[in-house]
Amino acid sequence: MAQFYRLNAEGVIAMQRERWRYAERAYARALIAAQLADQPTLQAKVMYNLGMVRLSLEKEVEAEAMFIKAQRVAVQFSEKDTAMRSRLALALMYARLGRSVKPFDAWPQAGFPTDIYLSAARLAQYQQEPLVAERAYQRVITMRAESSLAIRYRAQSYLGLALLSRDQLEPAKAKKYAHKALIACRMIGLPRISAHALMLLANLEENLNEQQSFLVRSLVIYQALKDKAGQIKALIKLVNVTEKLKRSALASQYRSQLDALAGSPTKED
Amino acid sequence: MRGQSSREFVKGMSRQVGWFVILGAGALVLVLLVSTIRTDIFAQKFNIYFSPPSAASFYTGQPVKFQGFAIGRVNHIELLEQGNVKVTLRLLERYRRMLHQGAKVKLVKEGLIGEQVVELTPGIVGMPSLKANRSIVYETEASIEQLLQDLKPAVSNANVLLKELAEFSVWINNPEGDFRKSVQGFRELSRGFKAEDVPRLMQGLTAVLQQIEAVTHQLSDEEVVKRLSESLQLATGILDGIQPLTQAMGQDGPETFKQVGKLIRHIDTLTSSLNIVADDLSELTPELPGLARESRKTIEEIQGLVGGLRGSWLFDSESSNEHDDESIAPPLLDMQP
Repeated sequence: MAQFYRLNAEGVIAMQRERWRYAERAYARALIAAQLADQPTLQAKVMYNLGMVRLSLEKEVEAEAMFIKAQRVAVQFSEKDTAMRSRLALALMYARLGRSVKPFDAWPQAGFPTDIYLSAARLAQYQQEPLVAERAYQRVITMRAESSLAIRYRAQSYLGLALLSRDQLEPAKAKKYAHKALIACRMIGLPRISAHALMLLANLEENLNEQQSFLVRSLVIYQALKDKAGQIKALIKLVNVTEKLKRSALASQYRSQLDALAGSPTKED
Repeated sequence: MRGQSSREFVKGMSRQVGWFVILGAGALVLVLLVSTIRTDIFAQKFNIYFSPPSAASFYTGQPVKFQGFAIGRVNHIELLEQGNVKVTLRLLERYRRMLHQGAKVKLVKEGLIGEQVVELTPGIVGMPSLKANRSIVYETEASIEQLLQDLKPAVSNANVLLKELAEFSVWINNPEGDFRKSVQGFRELSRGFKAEDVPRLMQGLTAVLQQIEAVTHQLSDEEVVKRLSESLQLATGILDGIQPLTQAMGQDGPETFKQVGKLIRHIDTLTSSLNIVADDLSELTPELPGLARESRKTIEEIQGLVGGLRGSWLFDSESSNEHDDESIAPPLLDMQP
């Protein structure tokens, strides 16, 4: 069993560092270890983890199969946390992909781990249920834990609340939450969430110079992460802003960067 | 030889069977004797009676206690032609010497939630023992002063509760509020919660408070009536003035979740307070048990309404079970703006 826990922990750390392929290998080996030890609840857990990493690698079909398997085993062996997680992960995946499915209504009750409320919040946001989403994010934020995982969830919740406030046409509130997300990110170093928060701040900012500053900061992070979609979004906005500011040299520089991005790989291990 | 031995054998057997039957019958008699002694079936008894204002809370066979010991039971309850109630107690004769003239009978509760028992006080020591088939004084545990004391927390809790219900009602009925916008999801989450229930329950609670107020006017003690009326006026006054106060806060969703949490806590306090009041009321006057039941019913309805909300993750923000699971991959949430 020690082998299972070591491999699973390696996978979790690798995922936090966005080393998807390494995480996938670790989880696959952890699954074998759990199967050899005949531990169905651990199998369900690692199946969910494997589903999550495959989703990160954009292997949606494999991810879906893993979540369904994890859910089935978890339900069979009364592992309610994993069952709920897998249900939410599937619903979130369908919502992201825009697949029309019945709206999720089996919301978690009190007493679940934080990641479940975070997923529920994001799903509620997709389902246009701002009240539920807000409450679920607030629930994650009020958690007292100070582990790196808890801080990550808090940062994500602040960003979620910022997006929610933006959608509800409350820019001041959205800015406040985006700044809070940035503060949480700086505590443990969460570049992707930082980049998203900076991009959001740029969108919310009326001052063009400030906008440019936020966009440049987010672009640098997206470049370091080799996040193509993020870079494209930031560059499009930068071209727009620099043109408005009549900084044509900068605008053409960003435009050429944008052109060069075509065809580059999205996910890196 | 052989015939003689078999006769002796039969004789022996008959003797053994005879002893067996005698011993069995003896054991049976002994058991009956012990049980009758223990249950005082054949013990000498005497009757006394008293006239409570209402027969509510009494029943035939109800234990009668003296200094915590069971000394008898309620033997008979009857409604006399004049409309009075007569409750007859059947008590063990051996305790009569401990019960003196001036002894009183009252209803007490065994523990906080135990059943009500009839209790006798010893009377004036030095006076002759109680005489059989005589009336003794029934002393009500709930004096008007006691009722006033018990009513105070109930009224103040009802005030808070009404205030919170009013705030809640304004929020859920606000067409521009969060509730209306996401009513579908909210309903599913709150498991059977109906927005229309809140005003109805508020009316119910107000009606109960008004009934209690009306009853207090019938009491003779003017001071008590005055003080009670003041408390209850406050309760209804809050309802009138609450609307403008709650308009502003009705806009804010998370604030209202906190309100619901408070509401749940106040309902718990109010229920226990009103239960005490209901007990007092049922002892004070015969017409009150109906009112007591009514108030309990209303409170139960409110409890039913918020009971579903209690376990909900939307309202229960004080759960201590929540934790991080370090062995789980962080969820992939696409949050790019």
